[in-house]
Amino acid sequence: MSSQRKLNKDNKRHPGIDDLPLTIVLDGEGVILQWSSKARAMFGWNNREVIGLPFHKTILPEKHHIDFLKLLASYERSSTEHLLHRAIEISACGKDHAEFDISMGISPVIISGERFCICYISDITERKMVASKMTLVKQLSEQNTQLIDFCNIVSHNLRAPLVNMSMLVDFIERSGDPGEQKMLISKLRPVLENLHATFNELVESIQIKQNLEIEVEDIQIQECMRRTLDGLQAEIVKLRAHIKADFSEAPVLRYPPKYLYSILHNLVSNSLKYHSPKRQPVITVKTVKVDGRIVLSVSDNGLGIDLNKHRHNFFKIGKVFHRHPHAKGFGLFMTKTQIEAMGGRIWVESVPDEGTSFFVEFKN
Amino acid sequence: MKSIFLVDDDPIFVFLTRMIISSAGTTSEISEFSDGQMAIDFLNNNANSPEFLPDIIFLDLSMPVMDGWEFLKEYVLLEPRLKKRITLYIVSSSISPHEVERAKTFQVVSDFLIKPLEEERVAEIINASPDAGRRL
Repeated sequence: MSSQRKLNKDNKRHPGIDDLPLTIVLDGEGVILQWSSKARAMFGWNNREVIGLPFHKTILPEKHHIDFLKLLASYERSSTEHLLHRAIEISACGKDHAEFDISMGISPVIISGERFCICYISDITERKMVASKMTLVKQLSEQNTQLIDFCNIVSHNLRAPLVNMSMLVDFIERSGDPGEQKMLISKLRPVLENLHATFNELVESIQIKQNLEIEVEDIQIQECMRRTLDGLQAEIVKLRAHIKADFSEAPVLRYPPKYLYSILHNLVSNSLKYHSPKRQPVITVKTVKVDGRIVLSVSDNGLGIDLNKHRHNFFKIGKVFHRHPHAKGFGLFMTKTQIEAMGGRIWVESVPDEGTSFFVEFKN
Repeated sequence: MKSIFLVDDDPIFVFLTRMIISSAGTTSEISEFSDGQMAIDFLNNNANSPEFLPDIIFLDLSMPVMDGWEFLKEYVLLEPRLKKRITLYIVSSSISPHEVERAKTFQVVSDFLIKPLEEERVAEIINASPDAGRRL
């Protein structure tokens, strides 16, 4: 292989000189000293038009001026410190006044005692566009899943009681026996209540999804927990459940109070509902900080669940995994909807006959 | 006399299905299972006793513990061992075409009946099921 060809091959593997970011040289006060042909191509001005002008007033939109001047002032104070340790993403504008996104890094240099700044700039419009398209695609696919879920809910959970009602009414109309009619009519009430409950849950979940501007407050988690336990007092006493709560690592959460109460209530009441008859229920509720985010956990020593079987539909509406008279399969669905509406996530770990732990990570 | 298993967690619907079966003019013995697990356990335990096995299974899809799909997965494995030929129908309130398509992937499913059940169809199904479904 000739050395020339080898070089070409190497050129393909490594970024060429043309791929380096555009460079502009400024003096210590931020006045443009050197303007490259790449800069001309990106911003539209030629050398004569910009050399001698303040950098920020030339290519930065007004909203960034103050920040840039502060940056320069800090350079002046500390003389050799890096102006920007890493590239920032910022908007810039060219001769035609059109704003576009750039990535910019600034390094200070001192040559013969004189201060200069070197700006490295690259146009990231395309990258930004690709990124925003990806986000959009992700959002759309999430919304699509939600829509399919919603269709399934309407198609099943709402239709089931409707079918029952129409069948009951059919029989009532056809029956000639007043005693039988009376018996059939008595069966309408629970169906109606079921329909009502499903309908209300659905409406509430839609409201959660739409309610993007719900008010958040700083909540003392301990206080919210106390209310939760008050609400579940009867069950706790009946089961002689032992509840341990520790919020010392993260005592305060900025969140909609109604949601936090609902999340705690649902998770703790789940733990109570699915306790193991073999042992005294012990439920541990606590918050920890993981990478600056608050994670709430609710762990119990209850029945547990086989996640290999049920992981996929754990948080779906109407899913129930244990035989329990009051299990409707709404609780976890609502909890998940509330958590995700606020940008957080929920997951579960469980071992059958040992217990279940729910984890909720809140967005900062 | 036909033996029918209703695998459905909705007591009202089970009650209504009983009424329909009886008003369809057929005499049948009806057993109820409120989830798939209960039904599959029974079939497993009685696979060799055709006298305890049903002629027809009406299977709901949405149930606690083990839903209809999970039931079908286990039933497919169990079915060759059953000492009786059973006709299985899905009975669901779902009108989702996706679920109807999915049901077609199970050969053991004879048809997908959308609730409400119709008397004529139920009579047809009961009369069509073979009298001597016993397998050697």
